[in-house]
Amino acid sequence: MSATSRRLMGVARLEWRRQLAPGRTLWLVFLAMGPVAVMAIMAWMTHKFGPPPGTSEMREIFGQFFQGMVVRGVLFFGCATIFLGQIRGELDQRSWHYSLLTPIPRWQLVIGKYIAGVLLAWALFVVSSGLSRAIFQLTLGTPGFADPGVQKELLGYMAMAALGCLAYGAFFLAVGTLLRGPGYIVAVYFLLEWIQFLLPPGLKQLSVVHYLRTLSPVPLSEGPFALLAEPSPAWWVVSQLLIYTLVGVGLAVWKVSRAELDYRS
Amino acid sequence: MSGALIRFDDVSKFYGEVLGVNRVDLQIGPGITALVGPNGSGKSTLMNLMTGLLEPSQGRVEIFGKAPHGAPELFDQVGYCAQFDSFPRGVTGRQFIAAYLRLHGLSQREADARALQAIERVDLLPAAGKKVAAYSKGMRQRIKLAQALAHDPQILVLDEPLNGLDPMARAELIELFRELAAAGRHVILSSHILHEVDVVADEVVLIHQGYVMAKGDIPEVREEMVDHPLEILLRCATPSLVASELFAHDHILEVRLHEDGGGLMVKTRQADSFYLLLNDLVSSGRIDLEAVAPADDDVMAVYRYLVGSEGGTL
Ligand SMILES: Nc1ncnc2c1ncn2[C@@H]1O[C@H](COP(=O)(O)OP(=O)(O)O)[C@@H](O)[C@H]1O
Ligand SMILES: [Mg+2]
Repeated sequence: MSATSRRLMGVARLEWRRQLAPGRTLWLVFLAMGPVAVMAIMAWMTHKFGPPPGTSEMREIFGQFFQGMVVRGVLFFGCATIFLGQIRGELDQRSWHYSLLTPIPRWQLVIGKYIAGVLLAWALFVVSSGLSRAIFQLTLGTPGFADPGVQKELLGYMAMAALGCLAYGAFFLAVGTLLRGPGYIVAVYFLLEWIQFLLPPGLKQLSVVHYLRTLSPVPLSEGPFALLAEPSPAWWVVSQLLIYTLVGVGLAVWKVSRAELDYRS
Repeated sequence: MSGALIRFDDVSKFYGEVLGVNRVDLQIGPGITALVGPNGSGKSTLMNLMTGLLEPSQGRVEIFGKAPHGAPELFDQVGYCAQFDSFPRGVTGRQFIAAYLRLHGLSQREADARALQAIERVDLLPAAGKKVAAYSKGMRQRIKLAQALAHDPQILVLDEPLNGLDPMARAELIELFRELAAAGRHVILSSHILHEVDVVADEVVLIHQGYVMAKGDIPEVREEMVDHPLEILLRCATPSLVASELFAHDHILEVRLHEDGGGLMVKTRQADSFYLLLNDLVSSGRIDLEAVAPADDDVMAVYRYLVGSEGGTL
């Protein structure tokens, strides 16, 4: 291994060790298991009390559940926990100087931390999303897992979770790096995610839900206030999400590269 | 200075309106250099500037000929034990040190081995596997020190490394600093107590309110401090009479009558002799004084403060 990749591995390992301190791990696993548990209960009820109404309706219910509980709940708070715990967490705990005093360029510190955070978020939330959808299939009954349509849908949800982690991660990394007390921004942003369909187009660009909704494997009705518009093609939405991610990570890199150490809160 | 790896060239640092350090010219060479000054005098600011955690508002800081902010490659050669008593979450002493050694490009095995060596140097082996969060203040101080020297840097910057340690541990660490200096390292340490470091330091830099007031080996610093002219304000009814009595003595540098005619300003190089003389004149009834006040007692005050009550050690 080259010295640089060893260093980046070092950054990641240290980050995982920090992230997986006992209390936090419990909270993150609790978040990840939430939707899995809900789907398991649903499957159990189906088994006990008989199947619910028509399949297509049910699939939209899962689609809405995913946007509500998984994206706005699990991904939102999970990524807030992980990525606000990165640079903001190190500043709050006054441990950031140890990293700044190593021979790693600051931009690499930020990128290394971000990648470590993304891998952790994926391991928790992409897996949990796939698992929820898989268990949901037990409720639906037919067709079985062998059906290519089912597999495609399952992968679709996992891909959405993966993209959601990238974008939320970048958002919280940037907010935590740029602001001393990001708590109120998180609250405002949470609200914004729930009312994103009401927002003017400019503000909509900030909402991760706004992008992810259009990627849903099953069409979702847009609610009473939605403007009817042609859905954007998936490749376009995905590139917008990736740009969103790049901007967030770029802001964090920019701030860390020029900032002086300042632990005042 | 030849061999100086650290240079401050007319460096000022302001925190917004607050002065951190002002117009510092300083060169630090091999051996042990002690930055000494009261709390808030600017020691940590100088150290943060040296290590690039801060950038100067004015002037230039160089180590190994480079500005430390934005030159990460320097940190293979610099170790900094900062003032903050804080650690990453959840680590044991050994993990703490090994984790940052990995960031120096070492493999996990090398990092683990080096971490243990460093922990041994600060005599903390039995606690290597315990969580740092459970350490005592003195142990935390020592594990920080071990972390700073684990990658064997040429320059070691140690902010108040003796703080919070019992006399035994202090003696051991001072021995360690001597070893490092003898091996050609630059050891820069800070303290707010002069006699804590005067036995070990090759050079002392006295700092007060952001200014470097004196620098050199101990006798040099002492001379600079003692020779610093002192201004004393005397209030009395007959200033010209007092002036004529004082003028006869050669440790008096300057006497100025105050504009209001009710006092005079005296400048002297030897405070002690001056106060003795003043006592003589008053007790023999030759002059009559209403008040005596040092107009600029900064230097002496700092000096006395730093030397503590038993000023004789300097
Ligand atoms: N981050 C900061 N923001 C504002 N003022 C600061 C900051 N850090 C230090 N100071 C001020 O700068 C001066 C020097 O502080 P410092 O270098 O910490 O002194 P020392 O280490 O000698 O105790 C003090 O007046 C202190 O209050
Ligand atoms: Mg200090």
